[in-house]
Amino acid sequence: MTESRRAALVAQLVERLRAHESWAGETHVQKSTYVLQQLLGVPMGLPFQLYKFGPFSFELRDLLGQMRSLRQLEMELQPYPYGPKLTVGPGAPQLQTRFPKTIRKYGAAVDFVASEVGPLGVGSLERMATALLVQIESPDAGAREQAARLHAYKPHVSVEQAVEALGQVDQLAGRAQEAGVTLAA
Amino acid sequence: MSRPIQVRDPLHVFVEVAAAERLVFDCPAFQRLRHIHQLALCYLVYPGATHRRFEHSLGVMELASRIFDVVTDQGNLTDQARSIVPDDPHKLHYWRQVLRVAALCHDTGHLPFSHAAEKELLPAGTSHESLSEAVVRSPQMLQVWKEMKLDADDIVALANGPADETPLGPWEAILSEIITGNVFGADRIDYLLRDSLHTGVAYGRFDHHRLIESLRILPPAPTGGTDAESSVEPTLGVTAGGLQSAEALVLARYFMFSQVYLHRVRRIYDIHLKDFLQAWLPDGRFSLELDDHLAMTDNEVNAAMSSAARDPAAPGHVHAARIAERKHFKTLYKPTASDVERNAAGAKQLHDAAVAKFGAEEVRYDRYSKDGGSNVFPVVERDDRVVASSGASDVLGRVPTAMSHYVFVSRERYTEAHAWMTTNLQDITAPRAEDEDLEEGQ
Repeated sequence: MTESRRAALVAQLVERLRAHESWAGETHVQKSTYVLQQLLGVPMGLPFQLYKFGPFSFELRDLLGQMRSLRQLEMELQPYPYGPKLTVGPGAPQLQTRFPKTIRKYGAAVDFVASEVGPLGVGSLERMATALLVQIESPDAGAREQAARLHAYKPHVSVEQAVEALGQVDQLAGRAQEAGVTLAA
Repeated sequence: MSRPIQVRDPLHVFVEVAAAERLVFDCPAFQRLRHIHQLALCYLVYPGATHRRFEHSLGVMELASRIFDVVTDQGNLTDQARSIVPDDPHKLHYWRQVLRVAALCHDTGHLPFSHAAEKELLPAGTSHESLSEAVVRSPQMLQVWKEMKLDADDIVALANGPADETPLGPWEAILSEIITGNVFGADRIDYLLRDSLHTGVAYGRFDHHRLIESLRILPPAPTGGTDAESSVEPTLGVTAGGLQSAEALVLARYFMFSQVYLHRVRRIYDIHLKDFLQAWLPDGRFSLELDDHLAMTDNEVNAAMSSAARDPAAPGHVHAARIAERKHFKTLYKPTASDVERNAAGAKQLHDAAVAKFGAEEVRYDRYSKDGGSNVFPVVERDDRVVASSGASDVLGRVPTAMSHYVFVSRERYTEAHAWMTTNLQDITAPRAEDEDLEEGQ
């Protein structure tokens, strides 16, 4: 997928996150995009790796910076002591004009992720996205083994929390199937 | 064993290299950095910018050590930070040594002229970090690590940071952040100060002494919302007293990008250099073989470029001559803020139209923005509350993102191209639906 088409989907995602009352900080966009790509199969082609707060894409981070410089996204400062939210900027509507088919094709998946993942806090997002990463890395491992792996990656996440997060991913995958927004296994 | 040395440095006064570290300092891979310009051809715009990766790497080692000493000082540790920092002094000493040599080695994979066109000049999926790793894992360096009782995996993890795909634990992630961190990394602090000094662009200066003294290992800044639970994964932040020095760093970075790194003439020289290298190098790319890499510096490229500039039959002659004779392309178009709001793809559309009109050899397109870190980091208040920098500072959330966005045209066609553009700009840059290939996998 080209960078501009990715930008169109990211702008759509941010708009839907705000509509679903997500905090919509950068971590929310990172983890939502990871779920969109890895669980729902939207082929954004972004490389993710395990980093701070779970799977993280440096290409996505740079894309967000570029979108800010093009005023497709803006940072919305929040009152002390909180971090900022992202919001769409005056340069965003043109992306819908330029990529109507892309937005039409993946719009339902974007809205599903925004509604399901967006309202979570950063701690929950970290656990759930890392659980998804562990499931992708070791699909044949049992839940206990996967939970142990998640705990090894993120020692501040207990094994019990890891088991719970793995279950959340399974439930999310099930709801995505029911909603018909899963594009790939 | 060699003796320790103190290297004079224009920024840090002295950088001490311990006896054991001389094994790294003296090795060919590190000495090669004496011949890699820190800012590529930037010296054609700012004549003082002839400094090299060698002194920068020494500076990163010095600053990383200072940061390490501050953030691991028992008096500066929160309970949470204490849980990840080794309490065994031997382990702490080991990691300090790993950090120092990782800082020395972090740029050993750089191609000639540093970052210029790395993506186009290396095989897909590789980067200068791949070459840095190859250096660290080379037989000669493995012998060095053996003598120093250091693990090469640890050095690679810290030197390459997030570029190394091996997941890092919380402690290793903090150490890697000390070198390569997006906000407070020693690499960034040193290059801003050093580039500012050598270019003569004073906007790049800030109070790094105060900044480093205020750095702490902290939990991340809070977010709000219905589920406001934050992660507890630690990161680097500052005390409230260091906030102004952090603001000064962020502003310095913005100004250095605007004034130096994304200067239009510097950008077009980078493009001419890339064009020359693609014509001159076998298969248009640098070799990933370690011996080839170590043998290739700015000296070899400069000699080839100088020769090619005089020989019309040499590969890359046209591009080499443009650099040697200062006949770089001129700026045809730089979109304004309102142009970009109307259509961010307008400049690319203009480029494509100009190529159709004047030919691919006469036109170049450049778009680059600095990486997208949002300058949000934790700040610990005097009452120990941790808050977001963007809430605590009136400045940080308002610093714009610097961007380079140009269409260049050869100076021989400039007058004609400018007249053509003036007549057709509105039509060519109008928003339009783009080709969307929605086949499988798209």
